[in-house]
Amino acid sequence: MMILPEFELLRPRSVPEAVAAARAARGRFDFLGGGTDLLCNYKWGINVQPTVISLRHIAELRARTNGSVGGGVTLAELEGDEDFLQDFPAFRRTLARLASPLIRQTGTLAGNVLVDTRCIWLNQTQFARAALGHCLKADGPECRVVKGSTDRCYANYSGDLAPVFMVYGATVRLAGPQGERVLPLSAFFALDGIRRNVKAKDEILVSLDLPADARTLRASYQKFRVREAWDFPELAVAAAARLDGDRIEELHLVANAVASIPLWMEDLARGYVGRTLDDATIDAIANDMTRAVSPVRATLLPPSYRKQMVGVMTARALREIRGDATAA
Amino acid sequence: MKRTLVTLHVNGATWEVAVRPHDTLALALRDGCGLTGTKIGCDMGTCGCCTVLVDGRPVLSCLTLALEAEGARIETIEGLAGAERLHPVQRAFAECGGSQCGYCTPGFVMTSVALLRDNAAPSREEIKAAIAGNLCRCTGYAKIVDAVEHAAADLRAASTGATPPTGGRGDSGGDQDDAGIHGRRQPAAARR
Ligand SMILES: Cc1cc2nc3c(=O)[nH]c(=O)nc-3n(C[C@H](O)[C@H](O)[C@H](O)COP(=O)(O)OP(=O)(O)OC[C@H]3O[C@@H](n4cnc5c(N)ncnc54)[C@H](O)[C@@H]3O)c2cc1C
Ligand code: SF4
Ligand code: FES
Ligand code: FES
Repeated sequence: MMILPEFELLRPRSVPEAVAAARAARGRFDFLGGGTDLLCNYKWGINVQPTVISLRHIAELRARTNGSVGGGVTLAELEGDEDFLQDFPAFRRTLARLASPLIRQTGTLAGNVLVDTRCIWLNQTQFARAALGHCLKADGPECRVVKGSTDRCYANYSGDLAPVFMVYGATVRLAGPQGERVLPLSAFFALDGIRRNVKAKDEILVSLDLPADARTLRASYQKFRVREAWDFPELAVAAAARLDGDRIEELHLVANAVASIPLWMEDLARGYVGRTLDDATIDAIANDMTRAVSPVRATLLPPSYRKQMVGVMTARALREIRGDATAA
Repeated sequence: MKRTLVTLHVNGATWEVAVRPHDTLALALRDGCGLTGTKIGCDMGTCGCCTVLVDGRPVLSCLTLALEAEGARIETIEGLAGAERLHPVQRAFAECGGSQCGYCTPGFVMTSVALLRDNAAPSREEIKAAIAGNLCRCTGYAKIVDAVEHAAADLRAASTGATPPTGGRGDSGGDQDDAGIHGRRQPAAARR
């Protein structure tokens, strides 16, 4: 049995109450959404805090309206929202292949976007980590994956939803002691496996909002994982494009689960605007994507294989967007 | 650590259980209510052994805090069978060989009950998708899928003819092994 460590549980009923509770806890707390990520890390003894602030009783975080999804909406609720899936069809398969149906019942959107980075060294019991030697991210002096690194963790970002929201052009709404702020999701993540994003510790992810014109983008998320029933991505690619016939008018690409954040490939994508989405262009984009990523040995599969597969998944995503029937 | 009395509505009975903030629902049900039918396997969200229904939805009780389940309607495997006979899903698991060592079975049964309430006639693919979060080391899954198909057919037949079997039997508290959580079943008048 994996016993949870002791903590105090607070259950605020509104966003301001939660922000005030966070402030009072002076950084020594974690927010709790569905708990399917946080409680596993706590059971492993990873970075346990004395206070847990549950956001499950805040109605505002459960709101869903016309392209705006509250941070507390569960993945199962999103999966059952036929209007949302018709407007943004790339989420249908993404959600169906995300974790397991049981985890999707309680796992939330915010928890998914903010899911902690993962690493084969870190995601183990306290006992195993103590035997192997602790690492920079929890209780140790240096990274074990990139030896000698004392200031950066290379653990893998493994959330499946953020890349899809990014290529659809979503913004993220945060609420904190200074009030609310909205920023593009593509500018939200910050390269480091410990810090992970620009959210202040006491800010709450209120919602992700999709722009109206995202409905006319064609998007695809291609995930590669070891087990088909449920598993984190070993690598994935999200792509969205607006096509005029077969000419690319707009293109957005994210390489996911090959670094500590989803990698927003905007410059690379912009270089292909105006080109025809033919086989030669698809191969060229796939090759560029492969060259652009440098995964490290933080997951099960070898980095060289994951790097190659980024190209394969990019090509599959673009073929699906083009309408090829064979795309996986 | 300080304990709080939490009121849990389980299988139609009301329980008062003294829990600590970090106690999971799985522990509260097993040690507080003595309802040991809910199993703990991985305790990390990967196996589905601990599945119970919370307000009708299948939920992993190993990753749910007991305090967070306060006021919710909880159904466990003990609440399914009638006094004389098994719930059709339980019966189908027994008859189709969907259970061998049985450790995973309560989780599979609860997930299947939730599926069949939503979808009276699921295809085999829909059944496989619904049970994708439940792991079994014994059966090889085929007989579990058979069992859910059979149960679906039985339930459909029951709903058109004889009175369908329903859950709701409040289980006896059983022996309480003292692993730190204490629970007390409320007198009938206090039950919901
Ligand atoms: C077996 C298993 C398989 C999984 N497979 C996948 C997978 O394939 N793909 C995938 O993407 N994930 C997977 N996960 C991870 C996780 O379950 C999901 O990402 C889930 O969506 C997390 O949501 P949650 O609400 O449970 O997060 P929680 O555990 O509640 O929280 C996660 C993080 O987000 C923070 N947080 C939560 N809500 C807010 C908020 N509103 N504001 C600020 N901070 C907040 C928490 O403090 C915590 O740091 C898996 C987990 C398990 C156990
Ligand atoms: S990448 Fe390095 S610092 Fe980060 S979790 Fe893994 S071993 Fe630890
Ligand atoms: S014991 Fe809860 S999922 Fe395994
Ligand atoms: S019957 Fe033994 S694990 Fe499923």
